[in-house]
Amino acid sequence: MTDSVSEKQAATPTRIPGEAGVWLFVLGDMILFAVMFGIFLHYRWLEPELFVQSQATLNTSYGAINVLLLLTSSWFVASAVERLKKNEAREGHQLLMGAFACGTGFSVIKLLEYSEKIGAGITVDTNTFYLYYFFLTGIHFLHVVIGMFVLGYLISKARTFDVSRNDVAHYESGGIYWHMVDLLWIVLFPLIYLVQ
Amino acid sequence: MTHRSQIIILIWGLVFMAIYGLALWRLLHMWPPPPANWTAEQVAQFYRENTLDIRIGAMVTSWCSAFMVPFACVAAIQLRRLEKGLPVWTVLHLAGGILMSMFLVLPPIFFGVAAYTPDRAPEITQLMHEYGLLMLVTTDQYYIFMMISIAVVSLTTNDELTAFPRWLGYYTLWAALAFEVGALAFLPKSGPFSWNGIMVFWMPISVFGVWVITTSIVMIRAILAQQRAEEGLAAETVGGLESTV
Repeated sequence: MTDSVSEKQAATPTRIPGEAGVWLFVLGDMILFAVMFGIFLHYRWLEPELFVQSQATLNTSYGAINVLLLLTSSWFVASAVERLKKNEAREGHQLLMGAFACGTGFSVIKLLEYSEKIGAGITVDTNTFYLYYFFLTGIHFLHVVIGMFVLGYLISKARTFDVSRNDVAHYESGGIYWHMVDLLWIVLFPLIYLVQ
Repeated sequence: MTHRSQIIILIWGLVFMAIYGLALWRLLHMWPPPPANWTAEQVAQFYRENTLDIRIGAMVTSWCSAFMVPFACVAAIQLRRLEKGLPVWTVLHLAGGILMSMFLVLPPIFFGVAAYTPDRAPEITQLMHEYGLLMLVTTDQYYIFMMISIAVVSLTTNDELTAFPRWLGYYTLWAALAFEVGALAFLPKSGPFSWNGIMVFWMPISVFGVWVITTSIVMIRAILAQQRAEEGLAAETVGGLESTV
């Protein structure tokens, strides 16, 4: 009995969620961000006082709410994929809508935060801290916006989803991308807003 | 014949790209570019000292800087092979590919103009220099359309002899995203996001080079496979005809 199980396991190769190409994309993007995190830490090390002073002007609540929003959205996406696998298209569709709503919330808060900064006369030209604050969060925000389009596309297809006809890997791939966007913010938030 | 022509113009483009890179490095002295915070006098001095090199570089690149045109043509032909119905993404790719070529063609001309009369007022030379360099690193406008077309067709079609396998589609999406950082060079004059920085110069130029070479190799292999498949089909037809006769 045990033998036949292990034989079976050996025969079926380990399935990767989504498809290999998405992981290639995610790996490439994470390397890109890792380099940018390194750059930020390097300049922080060169001007520690300026970075601590400027950091104090950031709105930590906005950053923290956005962590919660993205974590929640990741849960929505993961649950949606689970539901779709069980062929529960309606529930899957609703859960994806929940993820989209969280992404919208993130975007609104991000734009509010930027407009407050710009209103206070703080721009990329103010100092090195703000230059990297705007660049890093801005590049991340671009990823969020792209993710919203991906979610929008998946939502448009989810209502009529059928496991026998459609490929759940598309949803897994989109989910993997969205989890990466979430993960990057979980690193960015403490790095820019909190680390003393 | 059409298979061989595609491969020939693709390799032609790659050779020209190599010459362009060498000229940028050894003749135009823009690999990596001088710091963005140079004064007008420093820039003028640079062009006075290197006037002949840079003019020769501009001459050499006048012959070979349109190297993306053959690439875009072959890629468009390969996209057309896959796309069903009206060739929307194919046309978008070709238009984007041809137009982005302009931003590789123009910077060496500006460097050549700057070096052409190096004793003019330094501010004027600086203007040409800044124009050339910012054009080289910040021009992302057409890449998006060129690369997204490849990604869309790659990820939405299913063909055994495709020139754009799915992993290439994802890789292309990532490369397109990595390029977008280049436009940030308009903002800082020093650091990794200035025009000689790692994020704006080194990263996009290596991503671009590796992407063009990888995509070309994948396309050449697919074209060869398409040729073999067609020859096999032709031989089969001939064999079939002979047997019926």
